Amino acid sequence: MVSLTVLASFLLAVYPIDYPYNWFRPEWTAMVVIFWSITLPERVGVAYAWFTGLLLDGIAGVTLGQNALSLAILAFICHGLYQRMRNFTAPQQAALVFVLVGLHLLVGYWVQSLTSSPARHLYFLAAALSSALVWPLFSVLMRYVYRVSLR
Amino acid sequence: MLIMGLLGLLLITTDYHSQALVALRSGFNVVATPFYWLTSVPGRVMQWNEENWGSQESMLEENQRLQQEALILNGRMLKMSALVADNARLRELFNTTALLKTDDVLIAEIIGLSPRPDQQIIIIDKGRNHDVSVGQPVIDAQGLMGQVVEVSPISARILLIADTSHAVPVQINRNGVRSVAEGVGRLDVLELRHVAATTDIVEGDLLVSSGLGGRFPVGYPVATVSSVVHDPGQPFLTVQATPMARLSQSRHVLVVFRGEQRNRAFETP
Repeated sequence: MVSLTVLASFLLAVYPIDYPYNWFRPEWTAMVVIFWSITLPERVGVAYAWFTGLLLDGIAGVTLGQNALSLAILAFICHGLYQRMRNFTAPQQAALVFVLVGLHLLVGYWVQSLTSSPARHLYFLAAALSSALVWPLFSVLMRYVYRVSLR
Repeated sequence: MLIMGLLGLLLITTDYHSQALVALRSGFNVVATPFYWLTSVPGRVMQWNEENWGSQESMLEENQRLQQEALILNGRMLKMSALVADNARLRELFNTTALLKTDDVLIAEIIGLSPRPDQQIIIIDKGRNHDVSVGQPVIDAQGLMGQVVEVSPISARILLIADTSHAVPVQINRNGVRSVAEGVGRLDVLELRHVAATTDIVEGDLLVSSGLGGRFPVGYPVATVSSVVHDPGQPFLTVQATPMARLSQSRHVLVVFRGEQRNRAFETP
């Protein structure tokens, strides 16, 4: 189940979106990793997030290790927070997702500035905003998927 | 966590500093191709719908338009063959060895875009199995699009001329002045850097590839100059150009083969 949602997030991550709007593509894979490390912390750990990130690097064609590093950090933070995050209201969770995805994007930005000329402005944080905005709906959907898979 | 973090950093530095991971990358590209292909399915279905359920009138209309286009192009070709022969004779008179040759092309379909918004890269459905190799120029019907930067057996990544890390050596078709057209990260704008204030360049000038650097063949249209601004406080002109190739609309591209031609040019005394 977990792997299926990860694969689906890869599809959404490479779905072609026209130029100005693709800045707002939510970071689906990061959100899937956050969701599962809150919901099933014993199954989705740092190592799982790391390999998910490595696959995403290969598929998206970015520096190998970029998403591996940032998703491992996300999973690590979520493991420290999952008990609290489960009790958060939806807006609270969304706010935390904004910070977490922002961190994920910052790591990516840092790696990109090592290897190539990245964007010269803060647009790259737009994805954190859109991720936070879709999070409430996303988590409801994912919880439904999880419950269906338990049956 | 510490181990995974260090592993990640190690991977980043290896990928950045060495070519050791090229094989791994190419492997990943094979895994990635089905993803890109799948995400291009909705677009294909829509196109298929249009093609198969489109009304007869629109089909007839399109057919008529294409026939007219073919007629016009054939007309131009008639003149072209005379010009090519003429050009070859003149070159013989000047004792130049480089003969104009038409390049071989391979038609490829675009199956994906790079998900990174700050990177102008497209993915096509032809790869090493079709003899595509890194460095080949890619064009569409209107002009130069970019070059191949990564190949896997079944797909290839094309860096577009509009990417911030890309530059094409060009010359003005009108008077042969040379320059370099750099991408700025927008699909509809290229910039010419370090153009002296006295340069004869005006709006509407056609920029063609100059062939310097050896990467792109001579004479493919690259862009038309869209604005020339002379700010007396600046040492150079600010020149912007619009790419000729339809970078954001093409569905099919042509990969140009010219390896044989280049070898022959070197062999001739």
